[in-house]
Amino acid sequence: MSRWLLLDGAGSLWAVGHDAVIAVERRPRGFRVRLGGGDLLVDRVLGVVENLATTAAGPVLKRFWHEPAAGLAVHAARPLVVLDPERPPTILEAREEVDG
Amino acid sequence: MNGAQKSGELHLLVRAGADLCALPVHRIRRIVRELPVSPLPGAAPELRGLAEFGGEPMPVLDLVRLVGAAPGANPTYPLIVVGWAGPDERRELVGFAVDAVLEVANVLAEAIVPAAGGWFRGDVSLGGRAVRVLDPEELGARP
Repeated sequence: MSRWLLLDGAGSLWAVGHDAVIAVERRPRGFRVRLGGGDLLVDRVLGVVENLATTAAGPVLKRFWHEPAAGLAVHAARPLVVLDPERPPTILEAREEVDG
Repeated sequence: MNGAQKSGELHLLVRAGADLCALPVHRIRRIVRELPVSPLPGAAPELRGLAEFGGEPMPVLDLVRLVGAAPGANPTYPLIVVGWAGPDERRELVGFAVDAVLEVANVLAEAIVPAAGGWFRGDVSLGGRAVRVLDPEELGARP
Protein backbone atom coordinates (compact mmCIF):
# COMPACT_ATOMS: atom_id res chain seq x y z
CA MET A 1 0.00 0.00 0.00
CA SER A 2 1.41 3.39 -0.98
CA ARG A 3 0.78 6.56 0.96
CA TRP A 4 1.06 10.09 -0.32
CA LEU A 5 1.27 13.48 1.33
CA LEU A 6 -1.04 16.00 -0.35
CA LEU A 7 0.22 19.57 -0.59
CA ASP A 8 -1.30 22.86 -1.69
CA GLY A 9 1.25 25.31 -3.02
CA ALA A 10 1.69 27.99 -5.68
CA GLY A 11 -1.98 27.64 -6.56
CA SER A 12 -1.82 23.94 -7.42
CA LEU A 13 -2.24 20.54 -5.83
CA TRP A 14 0.79 18.28 -5.36
CA ALA A 15 1.54 14.86 -3.92
CA VAL A 16 4.77 13.33 -2.71
CA GLY A 17 5.43 9.81 -1.50
CA HIS A 18 4.94 9.70 2.26
CA ASP A 19 8.11 7.66 2.77
CA ALA A 20 10.17 10.31 0.97
CA VAL A 21 9.25 13.04 3.45
CA ILE A 22 12.00 13.66 6.00
CA ALA A 23 10.21 16.34 7.98
CA VAL A 24 7.43 18.90 7.85
CA GLU A 25 7.96 22.20 9.65
CA ARG A 26 5.54 25.03 10.17
CA ARG A 27 6.91 28.34 8.93
CA PRO A 28 5.61 31.90 9.38
CA ARG A 29 3.89 31.52 6.05
CA GLY A 30 2.97 27.94 5.21
CA PHE A 31 5.05 24.80 5.66
CA ARG A 32 8.54 23.66 4.81
CA VAL A 33 8.65 20.04 3.58
CA ARG A 34 12.08 18.42 3.72
CA LEU A 35 12.76 15.88 0.97
CA GLY A 36 15.89 14.05 -0.14
CA GLY A 37 16.45 16.30 -3.12
CA GLY A 38 15.67 19.60 -1.44
CA ASP A 39 13.09 21.46 0.57
CA LEU A 40 9.68 22.70 -0.51
CA LEU A 41 7.67 25.65 0.67
CA VAL A 42 3.92 25.09 0.42
CA ASP A 43 0.87 26.93 1.65
CA ARG A 44 -0.90 23.97 3.23
CA VAL A 45 -0.43 20.32 4.03
CA LEU A 46 -3.76 18.73 3.21
CA GLY A 47 -3.22 15.25 4.61
CA VAL A 48 -2.27 11.73 3.63
CA VAL A 49 -4.04 9.62 1.00
CA GLU A 50 -3.51 6.01 0.06
CA ASN A 51 -3.17 4.24 -3.26
CA LEU A 52 -3.03 7.22 -5.58
CA ALA A 53 -3.25 6.02 -9.19
CA THR A 54 -0.41 7.82 -10.93
CA THR A 55 0.26 8.20 -14.65
CA ALA A 56 3.29 9.54 -16.45
CA ALA A 57 3.24 13.11 -17.75
CA GLY A 58 2.83 12.97 -21.52
CA PRO A 59 4.71 14.83 -24.23
CA VAL A 60 2.08 17.57 -24.53
CA LEU A 61 2.42 18.52 -20.90
CA LYS A 62 6.22 18.30 -21.05
CA ARG A 63 6.26 20.53 -24.11
CA PHE A 64 4.57 23.37 -22.24
CA TRP A 65 5.63 22.76 -18.65
CA HIS A 66 9.26 22.09 -17.90
CA GLU A 67 9.27 21.37 -14.19
CA PRO A 68 10.39 17.89 -13.11
CA ALA A 69 7.57 15.59 -12.01
CA ALA A 70 7.19 11.91 -11.21
CA GLY A 71 3.71 11.82 -12.73
CA LEU A 72 0.14 12.98 -12.54
CA ALA A 73 -2.90 11.79 -10.63
CA VAL A 74 -6.42 12.74 -9.62
CA HIS A 75 -7.68 13.02 -6.06
CA ALA A 76 -11.27 13.93 -5.23
CA ALA A 77 -11.83 14.96 -8.86
CA ARG A 78 -8.89 17.37 -8.70
CA PRO A 79 -5.83 16.81 -10.90
CA LEU A 80 -2.47 16.94 -9.18
CA VAL A 81 1.23 16.64 -9.90
CA VAL A 82 3.20 13.85 -8.25
CA LEU A 83 6.57 15.20 -7.17
CA ASP A 84 9.90 13.51 -7.62
CA PRO A 85 11.42 13.85 -4.13
CA GLU A 86 14.91 13.92 -5.60
CA ARG A 87 14.05 16.77 -7.98
CA PRO A 88 11.51 19.14 -6.45
CA PRO A 89 10.01 21.71 -8.84
CA THR A 90 11.75 25.07 -8.75
CA ILE A 91 8.42 26.83 -8.27
CA LEU A 92 8.10 25.23 -4.81
CA GLU A 93 11.76 25.22 -3.92
CA ALA A 94 12.53 26.57 -0.48
CA ARG A 95 15.34 29.07 -0.65
CA GLU A 96 17.16 30.62 2.24
CA GLU A 97 14.61 32.66 4.08
CA VAL A 98 15.54 36.22 5.00
CA ASP A 99 13.68 37.66 7.95
CA GLY A 100 12.73 41.30 8.17
CA MET B 1 -17.82 15.44 -63.86
CA ASN B 2 -14.73 13.36 -64.36
CA GLY B 3 -15.41 10.78 -61.65
CA ALA B 4 -12.01 11.29 -60.06
CA GLN B 5 -13.47 12.73 -56.90
CA LYS B 6 -10.89 14.02 -54.49
CA SER B 7 -11.20 12.70 -50.98
CA GLY B 8 -10.58 14.68 -47.86
CA GLU B 9 -10.62 14.36 -44.13
CA LEU B 10 -13.44 15.49 -41.87
CA HIS B 11 -12.45 18.27 -39.50
CA LEU B 12 -14.24 20.03 -36.67
CA LEU B 13 -14.19 23.77 -37.15
CA VAL B 14 -13.83 25.78 -33.98
CA ARG B 15 -13.43 29.44 -33.19
CA ALA B 16 -10.34 30.41 -31.24
CA GLY B 17 -10.34 34.15 -30.69
CA ALA B 18 -10.26 35.86 -34.04
CA ASP B 19 -9.23 32.67 -35.87
CA LEU B 20 -11.03 29.64 -37.21
CA CYS B 21 -9.24 26.36 -36.62
CA ALA B 22 -9.79 22.82 -37.84
CA LEU B 23 -9.17 19.67 -35.83
CA PRO B 24 -9.37 16.22 -37.43
CA VAL B 25 -12.63 14.57 -36.36
CA HIS B 26 -11.07 11.15 -35.84
CA ARG B 27 -8.88 12.72 -33.15
CA ILE B 28 -11.78 14.11 -31.14
CA ARG B 29 -13.41 12.26 -28.27
CA ARG B 30 -15.84 14.70 -26.73
CA ILE B 31 -16.79 18.35 -26.38
CA VAL B 32 -17.41 19.48 -22.84
CA ARG B 33 -18.51 22.70 -21.21
CA GLU B 34 -17.02 24.43 -18.19
CA LEU B 35 -14.45 21.85 -17.20
CA PRO B 36 -12.56 23.13 -14.13
CA VAL B 37 -8.89 23.70 -14.95
CA SER B 38 -6.14 23.92 -12.34
CA PRO B 39 -3.29 26.17 -13.50
CA LEU B 40 0.27 24.91 -13.33
CA PRO B 41 2.75 27.50 -12.05
CA GLY B 42 5.54 28.22 -14.48
CA ALA B 43 3.72 26.78 -17.46
CA ALA B 44 3.98 28.27 -20.94
CA PRO B 45 1.04 30.54 -21.85
CA GLU B 46 -0.32 27.89 -24.20
CA LEU B 47 -0.99 25.54 -21.28
CA ARG B 48 -4.02 26.57 -19.23
CA GLY B 49 -3.44 23.78 -16.75
CA LEU B 50 -4.71 20.36 -15.78
CA ALA B 51 -8.29 19.11 -15.72
CA GLU B 52 -9.88 15.89 -14.60
CA PHE B 53 -11.56 13.99 -17.41
CA GLY B 54 -12.91 10.48 -16.98
CA GLY B 55 -10.99 10.13 -13.74
CA GLU B 56 -7.67 10.93 -15.42
CA PRO B 57 -5.53 14.07 -15.39
CA MET B 58 -5.56 15.89 -18.73
CA PRO B 59 -3.58 18.94 -19.92
CA VAL B 60 -5.75 21.71 -21.32
CA LEU B 61 -4.32 24.00 -23.98
CA ASP B 62 -5.47 27.49 -24.87
CA LEU B 63 -6.06 27.24 -28.61
CA VAL B 64 -5.87 31.01 -29.05
CA ARG B 65 -2.36 31.02 -27.61
CA LEU B 66 -1.42 27.84 -29.42
CA VAL B 67 -2.13 29.32 -32.86
CA GLY B 68 -1.12 32.86 -31.91
CA ALA B 69 -4.58 34.27 -32.66
CA ALA B 70 -5.87 37.61 -31.46
CA PRO B 71 -8.33 37.26 -28.57
CA GLY B 72 -11.97 37.46 -29.59
CA ALA B 73 -14.55 39.91 -28.33
CA ASN B 74 -15.60 37.58 -25.51
CA PRO B 75 -12.52 35.55 -24.52
CA THR B 76 -14.10 33.18 -22.01
CA TYR B 77 -13.29 29.94 -23.86
CA PRO B 78 -16.31 28.14 -22.46
CA LEU B 79 -15.85 24.92 -24.41
CA ILE B 80 -13.14 22.30 -24.27
CA VAL B 81 -12.65 19.96 -27.19
CA VAL B 82 -11.18 16.75 -25.79
CA GLY B 83 -9.04 14.87 -28.25
CA TRP B 84 -6.04 12.67 -28.72
CA ALA B 85 -2.58 14.07 -29.43
CA GLY B 86 0.50 12.16 -30.42
CA PRO B 87 0.98 9.09 -32.58
CA ASP B 88 -1.68 6.38 -32.36
CA GLU B 89 0.53 3.91 -30.48
CA ARG B 90 1.03 6.33 -27.58
CA ARG B 91 -1.74 8.85 -27.88
CA GLU B 92 -2.51 11.24 -25.07
CA LEU B 93 -5.77 12.93 -24.10
CA VAL B 94 -5.61 16.69 -24.41
CA GLY B 95 -8.19 19.44 -24.04
CA PHE B 96 -8.37 22.42 -26.37
CA ALA B 97 -10.12 25.46 -24.88
CA VAL B 98 -12.11 27.23 -27.61
CA ASP B 99 -14.72 29.96 -27.96
CA ALA B 100 -17.19 28.01 -30.06
CA VAL B 101 -17.68 24.82 -32.01
CA LEU B 102 -19.05 25.61 -35.44
CA GLU B 103 -19.42 22.71 -37.87
CA VAL B 104 -17.82 19.67 -39.45
CA ALA B 105 -16.19 20.24 -42.82
CA ASN B 106 -14.29 18.18 -45.33
CA VAL B 107 -10.72 19.40 -45.80
CA LEU B 108 -8.80 18.34 -48.88
CA ALA B 109 -5.15 17.72 -48.18
CA GLU B 110 -4.13 19.30 -51.48
CA ALA B 111 -6.04 22.48 -50.57
CA ILE B 112 -3.92 23.11 -47.49
CA VAL B 113 -1.18 25.67 -47.87
CA PRO B 114 1.52 24.02 -45.75
CA ALA B 115 3.05 25.75 -42.78
CA ALA B 116 6.66 25.49 -41.72
CA GLY B 117 5.95 22.42 -39.64
CA GLY B 118 5.11 21.53 -36.09
CA TRP B 119 1.55 21.14 -34.87
CA PHE B 120 0.26 23.83 -37.26
CA ARG B 121 -0.29 21.96 -40.50
CA GLY B 122 -1.21 24.94 -42.64
CA ASP B 123 -4.03 27.17 -43.88
CA VAL B 124 -7.03 26.31 -46.00
CA SER B 125 -9.88 28.34 -47.44
CA LEU B 126 -13.34 26.93 -46.65
CA GLY B 127 -16.32 28.79 -48.05
CA GLY B 128 -14.24 31.92 -48.34
CA ARG B 129 -13.05 31.70 -44.76
CA ALA B 130 -9.40 31.26 -43.81
CA VAL B 131 -9.01 28.24 -41.52
CA ARG B 132 -5.90 27.11 -39.66
CA VAL B 133 -5.50 23.34 -39.76
CA LEU B 134 -3.94 21.73 -36.70
CA ASP B 135 -2.03 18.46 -36.46
CA PRO B 136 -2.66 16.92 -33.01
CA GLU B 137 -0.41 13.99 -33.84
CA GLU B 138 2.57 16.30 -34.18
CA LEU B 139 1.52 18.24 -31.10
CA GLY B 140 1.98 15.11 -29.03
CA ALA B 141 5.29 14.14 -30.60
CA ARG B 142 8.22 14.00 -28.21
CA PRO B 143 9.35 17.58 -27.53
